[in-house]
Amino acid sequence: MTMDFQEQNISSHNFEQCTKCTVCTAYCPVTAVNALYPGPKQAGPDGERYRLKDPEFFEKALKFCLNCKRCEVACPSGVRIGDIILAARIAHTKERPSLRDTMLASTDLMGRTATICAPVVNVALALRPVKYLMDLTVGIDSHRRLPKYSSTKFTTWFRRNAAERQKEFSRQVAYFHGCYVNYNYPDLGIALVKLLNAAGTGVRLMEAERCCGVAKISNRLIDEARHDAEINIAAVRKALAEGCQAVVATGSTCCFTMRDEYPHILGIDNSDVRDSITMATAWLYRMIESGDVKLAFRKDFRLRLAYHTPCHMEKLGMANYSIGLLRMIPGVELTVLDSNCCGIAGTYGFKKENYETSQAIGSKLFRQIAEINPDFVTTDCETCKWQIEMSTPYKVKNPIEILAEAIDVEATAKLNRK
Amino acid sequence: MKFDIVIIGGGLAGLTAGISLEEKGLSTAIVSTGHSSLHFNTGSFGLLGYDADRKPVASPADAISRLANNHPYVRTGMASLAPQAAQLLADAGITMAGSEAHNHLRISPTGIAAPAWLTLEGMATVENLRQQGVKRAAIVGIDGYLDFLPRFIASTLEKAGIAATVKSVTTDALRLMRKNESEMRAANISRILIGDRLDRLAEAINAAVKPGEADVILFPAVVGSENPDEYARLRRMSATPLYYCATPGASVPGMIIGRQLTSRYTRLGGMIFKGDSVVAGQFDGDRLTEVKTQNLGSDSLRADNFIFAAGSFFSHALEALPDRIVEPALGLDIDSPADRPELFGKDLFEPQPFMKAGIATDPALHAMRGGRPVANLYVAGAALAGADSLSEASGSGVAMTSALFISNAIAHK
Ligand SMILES: Cc1cc2nc3c(=O)[nH]c(=O)nc-3n(C[C@H](O)[C@H](O)[C@H](O)COP(=O)(O)OP(=O)(O)OC[C@H]3O[C@@H](n4cnc5c(N)ncnc54)[C@H](O)[C@@H]3O)c2cc1C
Ligand code: SF4
Ligand code: SF4
Repeated sequence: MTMDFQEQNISSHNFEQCTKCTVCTAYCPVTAVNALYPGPKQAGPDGERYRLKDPEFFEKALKFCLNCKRCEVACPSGVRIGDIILAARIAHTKERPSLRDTMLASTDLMGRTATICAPVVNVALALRPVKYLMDLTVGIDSHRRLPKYSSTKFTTWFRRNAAERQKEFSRQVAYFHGCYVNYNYPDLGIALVKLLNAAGTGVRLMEAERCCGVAKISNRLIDEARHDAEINIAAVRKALAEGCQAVVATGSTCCFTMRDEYPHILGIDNSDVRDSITMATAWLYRMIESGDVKLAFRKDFRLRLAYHTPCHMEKLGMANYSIGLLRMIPGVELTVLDSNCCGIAGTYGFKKENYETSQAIGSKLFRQIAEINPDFVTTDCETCKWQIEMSTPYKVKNPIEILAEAIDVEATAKLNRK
Repeated sequence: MKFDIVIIGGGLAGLTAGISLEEKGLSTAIVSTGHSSLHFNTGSFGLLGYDADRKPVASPADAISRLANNHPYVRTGMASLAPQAAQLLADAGITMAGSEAHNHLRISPTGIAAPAWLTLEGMATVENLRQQGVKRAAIVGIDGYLDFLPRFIASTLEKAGIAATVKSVTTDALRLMRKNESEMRAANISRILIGDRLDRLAEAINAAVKPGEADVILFPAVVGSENPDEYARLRRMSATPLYYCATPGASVPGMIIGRQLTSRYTRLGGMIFKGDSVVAGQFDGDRLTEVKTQNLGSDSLRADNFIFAAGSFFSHALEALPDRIVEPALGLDIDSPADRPELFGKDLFEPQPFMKAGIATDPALHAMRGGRPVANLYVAGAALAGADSLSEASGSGVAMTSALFISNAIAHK
């Protein structure tokens, strides 16, 4: 009887499992640099108890959380601390999201508009007076170099140059490219198509792709995020039903959001497809291991690389696939950087009030990169790429781009022809 | 993914096994739910601190042979690997003093002098104070840091013939921290005591204890979790020789040891699946072929050999149900000293029988499942039955020597 009660009385996010050990706070990137943030234990499971009495407890402090989930990776007791904090922030923050937050959150709307006017927008965004004005009026820090918008969207390139040829392959995957690849960095999408095609795999787009919703979730636009999420999950189901082996992503935050934030934060049941939403590197690694795909590498390829583990890649548990693939390239000398947050955390670092915290958090990582002095930094997250390129002299590439450059396309295609 | 060896649990046992196997050129991966009990380690390791009658042990090497027959040390003879364990720590850049021939006396967070095998350099022990001929010690606390108990430490020192004075210091950064709702705990404090802020602390300590006023300063171990170099730097900046005292967890010296071992392991090429848990295993006859984890979903981790080093009750590797103890992930057999109702002693401060419960093993430390040994699955560390790490002060010794025992067995297969 008593045991029944114990076993069935489980709270959300494993809140009751907390043993008050403080390990989470010892690993939160924010507590080290922001004296106003009480840390995950206090803002999470401890605060949750107080919030039962007064929902406003720690309300002001909750916004400092980056939603990086490093506390959850560290917790020995499986408490979903980041989820507790995010859920409390959504439930208890009274202010409406500001114009700035709505702008930063609406990555696809902003992208669609900006792509049309890319040349003008890019020049304008880079101009000092415009940056200064953005700083003043909407609160986007003027130190930030906003990501450039590409004049051709990835999807446009794909339809014009690649879509037709994909039908030749019997094995297919669907690609969740995300807003960043579509509007700012089509080259990464193009590299993925090149790599997977050589590996004997066709790439298709999903029937309807919306932003994964991470920016909307962290800026508390929850109804909008849920709407997009439902469209995405329906599109995932459709792609799988139509024979795609998996839905692959090249950005770890998109992948993490669809796998974990949808059920945990938005209450969307994705259990039937969660396992099929994966990182492109994870999918490829498994195919190589099972012998279904073979890669032939260029003999002249030499690079010294440093791999940075993005927070959400760490939480996904998939960094070892990217590292494993990079280690397969004969000419690559790879150093795995200590896993530390880069400080940008999506739209967080773009906000004026967070700029200093964001840079302070990243400083440990930047220092280590400088010590190693690699040819390139490589990482699976787009926002980490911005942050590292803004804060260090090093250029950052996605592991997929490195692999696409390293393979001998002809020889690889030959190995994988059926 | 496929490896030569997959290790379940990344505590002291899992990391020791991983490092030793990587050093032998084998490919390994560690899956670990979250941080381990190293985060509560005081900076001192026990091989055997107390015997069956709870008497302090002077020489672990001698006392081990008098343990019960079902103790893992006695069943395997693995305690003879203690010097190899000390070498592994040194190779990972962790300087610890002590030997298996003679225990020394560490100073516990509550100020008790307790027997220990190895202690991290820079931590106060009764021996290093004696060897330095210390007559007067200044025990320096931090304003508002309540986990440090200077009066208790003073009384222990007085018994050892050392006079102690008690002081307290603070700095701007520490004052600001007190205003925050976050607690003044060792691991939290150490995150802000870096760079210039550590220089300010050194100045405050030097102002509080003038040169010549004391032979030694004892200060809580609240420096170095971010960057182990800071741990040594504060000692260098102190005008009077400074030693650290253990604190309750999360404990900085334990975190430093954990960080060094983890970075040694990854530098050797080991892969860690952090924050992930093994949830099931696939068995084929007397062999484990693969394990499933929470994050990897339909992918599994395959290996020729597996090591179960997931700890005990505290780390959720063992679970106590109303009528029995179980190991939920792989369904391994449990070796328990008594039935469930007799597992608890009436006096909380007496040794508790349940502490000796663990995974049943054969003498080669293969895990038992359904009454039969699993030929390629070994058990290391706190998961082993037959040792009570708390009342014997044997936890670190069991963790490290069992891991080395298994690593040697796998290498000779
Ligand atoms: C609070 C505390 C303080 C201690 N202090 C000291 C001390 O100061 N000195 C001393 O000598 N000994 C101390 N000990 C004794 C300690 O048990 C041993 O020293 C030793 O560290 C045990 O190491 P281990 O690797 O066997 O287990 P653990 O340290 O418990 O590590 C097990 C790891 O496995 C993980 N895990 C569990 N289940 C799974 C799963 N299904 N899948 C993947 N991973 C899993 C856990 O999260 C954990 O990280 C202490 C023990 C505790 C509990
Ligand atoms: S790490 Fe987990 S168990 Fe420890 S205080 Fe944080 S939430 Fe609680
Ligand atoms: S999610 Fe990240 S920033 Fe937020 S409390 Fe956890 S560790 Fe800190």
